Amino acid sequence: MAAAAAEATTDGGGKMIILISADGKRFEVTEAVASQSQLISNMIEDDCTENGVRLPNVDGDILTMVVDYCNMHAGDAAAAGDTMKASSTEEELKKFDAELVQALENPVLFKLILAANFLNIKSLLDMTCQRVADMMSGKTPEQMRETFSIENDFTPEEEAAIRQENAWAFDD
Amino acid sequence: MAEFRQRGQVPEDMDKSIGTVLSYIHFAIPDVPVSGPPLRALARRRRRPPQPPPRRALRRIVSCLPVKDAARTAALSTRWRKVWRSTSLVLVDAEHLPVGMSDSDTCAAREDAHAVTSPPASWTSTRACS
Repeated sequence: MAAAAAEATTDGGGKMIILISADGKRFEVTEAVASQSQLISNMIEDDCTENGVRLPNVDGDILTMVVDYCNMHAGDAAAAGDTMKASSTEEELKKFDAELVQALENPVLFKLILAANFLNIKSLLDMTCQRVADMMSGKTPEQMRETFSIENDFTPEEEAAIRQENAWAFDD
Repeated sequence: MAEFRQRGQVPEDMDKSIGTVLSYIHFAIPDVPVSGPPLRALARRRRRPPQPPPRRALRRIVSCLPVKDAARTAALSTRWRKVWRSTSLVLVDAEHLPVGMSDSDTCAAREDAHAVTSPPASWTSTRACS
């Protein structure tokens, strides 16, 4: 059944691709949607997506978000030719993106970064990294560590030396 | 065996008692020690700590931060410090970008700048702006 689905084509003429998460969840997406991932785009070019694409380091819940994101953004290229449509969807996309990252708990946000990096989806990686940067901005190193569960592996002497070296950044 | 026969015992009984003794010995022998890598793999499976973001992502995060905040990331951990060291010069340059540029523009510009003029390691010592 999966093989049949993988071979199926949509009304739009795009071939369907099955993505399989680490926990075995299957997602059926069009080639246009999937190829926003540079990794999968390369696999499509090399014709190795027939039996579905296994993503052993992306959990189902994260892949759901990635697929949602790609589904929303798949229209970008298509809409570029149609100015009216492009301008109307741009607002929606911005809203969708903002809601997607703002609602995330930090561990999930990091998982999404890992997935975006692994799948090589530049726009999603940019967006998630920007979100982390926004959350780090204006915080002390202690607050940053606490917010993002970063382990301090410096000795007190090393840390003091680094603070000294970059003293201008700590003189609030 | 001969001694067993001399005592008038059946050789098959001796086999049984040897079997019993061996089973006790097997029971008492400690398990074969598992070598390092499989043991680590086992530990990973039991309690998988959250994977830290890849270096590429950290670089992106640091390059999207205002310069002062970015410099503070050097004090987070050794990993973040390496990232800061590899991006610092570009961040310093980014300070001189036109004031009117939006955050996202500067972020993109820094990324581009980093891609084109990634500083050689020896440059980090010339960070005179600090």
